[in-house]
Amino acid sequence: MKVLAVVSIKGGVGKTASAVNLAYEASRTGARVLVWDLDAQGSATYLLRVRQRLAGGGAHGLVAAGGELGRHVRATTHPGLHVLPGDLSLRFLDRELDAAGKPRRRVGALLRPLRASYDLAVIDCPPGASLAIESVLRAADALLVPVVPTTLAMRTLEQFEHIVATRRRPPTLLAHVSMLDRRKTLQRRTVEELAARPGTLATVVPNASVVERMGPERAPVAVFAPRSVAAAAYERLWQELAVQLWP
Amino acid sequence: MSTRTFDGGGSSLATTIAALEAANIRLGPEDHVVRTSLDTFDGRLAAAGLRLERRCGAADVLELRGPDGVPARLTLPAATLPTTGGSDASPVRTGVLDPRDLPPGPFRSRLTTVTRERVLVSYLTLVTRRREGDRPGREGAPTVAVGVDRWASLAVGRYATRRAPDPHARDALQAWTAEGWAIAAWTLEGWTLEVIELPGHPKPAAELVRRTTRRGLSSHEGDALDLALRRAGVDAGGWKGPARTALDRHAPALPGYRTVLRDLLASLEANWQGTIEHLDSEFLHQTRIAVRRTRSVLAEGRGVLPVDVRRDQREAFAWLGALTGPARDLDVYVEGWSQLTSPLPAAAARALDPVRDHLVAQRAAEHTTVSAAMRSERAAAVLTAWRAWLALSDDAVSGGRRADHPLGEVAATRLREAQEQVITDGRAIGSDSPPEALHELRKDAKRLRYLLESFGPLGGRKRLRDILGHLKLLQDNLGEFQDTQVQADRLRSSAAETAGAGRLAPDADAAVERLAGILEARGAAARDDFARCFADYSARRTRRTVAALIDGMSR
Repeated sequence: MKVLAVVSIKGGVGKTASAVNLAYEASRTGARVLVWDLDAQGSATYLLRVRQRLAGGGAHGLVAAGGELGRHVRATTHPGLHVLPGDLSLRFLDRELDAAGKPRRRVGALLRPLRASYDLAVIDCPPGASLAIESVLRAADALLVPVVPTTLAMRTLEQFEHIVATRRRPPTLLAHVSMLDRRKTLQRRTVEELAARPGTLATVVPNASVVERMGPERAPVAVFAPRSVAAAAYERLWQELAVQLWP
Repeated sequence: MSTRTFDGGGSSLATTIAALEAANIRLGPEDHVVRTSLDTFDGRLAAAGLRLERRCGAADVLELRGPDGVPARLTLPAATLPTTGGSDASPVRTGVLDPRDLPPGPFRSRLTTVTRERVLVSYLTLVTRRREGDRPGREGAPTVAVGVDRWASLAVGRYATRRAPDPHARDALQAWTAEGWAIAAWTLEGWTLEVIELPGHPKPAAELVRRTTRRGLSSHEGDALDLALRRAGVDAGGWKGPARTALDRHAPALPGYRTVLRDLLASLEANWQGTIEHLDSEFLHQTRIAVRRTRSVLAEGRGVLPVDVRRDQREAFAWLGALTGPARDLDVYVEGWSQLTSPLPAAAARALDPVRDHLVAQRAAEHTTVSAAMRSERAAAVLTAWRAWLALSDDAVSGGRRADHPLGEVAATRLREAQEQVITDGRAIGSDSPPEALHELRKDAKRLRYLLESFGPLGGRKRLRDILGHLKLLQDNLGEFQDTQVQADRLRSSAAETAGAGRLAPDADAAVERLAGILEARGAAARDDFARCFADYSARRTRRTVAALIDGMSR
């Protein structure tokens, strides 16, 4: 099983949209996919039409010693795509990880028993740089950072790169342009700057209303707008990622 | 995650549909669905706990399930896969599918890790009118899924391994006769209901199973395709390799020899058609194993088998052996090409692509020759005569002067001779012995190996395993020494032929010589290692085990 963490220090950059759409594309092309919603908002869970509730003690039951991820997994409407739901109890995730012991190894340890059942785990991370993110960084094979092409977002990406680079065994860090508004000259220039950086994927996901429609539709874009530019972008983005994950 | 399938039998489908709807199951429209069970001829997916289905309906998908039941689905454009089609009444069986042709990714990787050089063949095709449905949870995701199939027809794949059908199957499936399969396709009536448990929701599926069971329907583990495989008597585990009927060392030698030869004929026949069609290289490999072993048993049958039968069949099987040898050598060469060229830098390996293409073309030509010969009247006559002689009752066959001697005693004599030959010839080889001496020893070792595989079990399987392990080490060493030399020679001759045709760049010469040099160095290393490998086989401990095995056979 490969572990792909969709992560960013910044909020509102399209992490959940990327996680859900890429997971869906992966499942369509033959991967058994588990989306792990680590965000207390539970947005990925919501978009996949699963109840935002962690049974058996919430975040505590999820990560406590003897905890087992498998019992929290739920089917979605998409074959081969399962979800480990997120709920509000995850706001205490750092505290629970700390209490469980060896917090930085905990995410990897919890995923280990599921390695034979899934080809890909997509972790939808909460924004920020927390203990939970540290644990995810240790477990991940690759990190995908959606970057809105603005100066501040670029600066945040650099900060995150620094965090990752200081690790003993850093996972592959990949970035992709998210929510591009082509009408804005500054954004177009920033995209050029980003494209020149190693580790930036070529696919650009536009700022499209169809992506916002994921909320009311509660489905990946390709399900309700398969011919849209955004759906095509996520499909290409997955193809780029798949080559990185399974060279 | 588990699936249970209920057999509708003679009960009303409409009542079941009504019951499902009353249980808040949303059923979709009915769709014409062709479901095909795929595996390698020898059931490698089943052995690895995997199950692959191709489902053609609204979409054309491959679905792969592991032991935990989590499905992986690969949707492909129809053109990517072999064609399928047909009507409800006459499904067209799917062709073969090479997993290596699938797009890269985890799906292909899971398959090819298991199938390796083998292609996937159809075991069974089931055509149904299918409705799928589920019961949505509070947020909309399903909590239990169902599939209602009105069965239309099924067809057994040409390469499916068959056994007697399920005794509970309805009359329409009772096609098993004393002669084997009279027909391999049926038009069906009836329906099934699949109840599919989904992750995180064991209760709704259990409840639906309970309710349906209460209505008097019988159920089976697995889905409708699993049920169809059982009904049709298809062994989902595939071909299990050459049969090894138990031998009695005290029984007369002739019936024992004929038993071994019958097992080998069954193996030959099982792989015959796949070799003709060149589905994958393993069919030819298994065919050659059966031919070589048959030749060995015939050769060792002097004094046991009738003189005329032995003479005629040795000639016939020598023909089959010679016929299939070049194609097999090229299979090994072409399929091992990537590994062979892996020590070279990428540019040098690319420069040799025309040589590889030349070998591929040669292989295709050799396989065409093999196919034509195996389809010929001569091949048919060989098989017919051999089958007929082996089908005769033991009473109707008289053999040579040792035909009535105990099998164990006769086989032990042969084994003792073969063992002594290996030890004598091996001990005569020194560091300055010519390559021909090692080639002769390789032949001796092969003769011993075949004898051990055919009759060794008479002396105890544990001893046999032990001996074969040591013998394999020696054979691998001798094989590496000779094969690398043959490969280096073939590389140079193929390169010369390719260059002669103007298809090889001038800078490829260096790559050819570099690769040939690597092969020759491997051969030299094997030559240096020979003394160690032979010492292992000829060690007192191994010789004692061989002696004990031979004593056990004749006791």
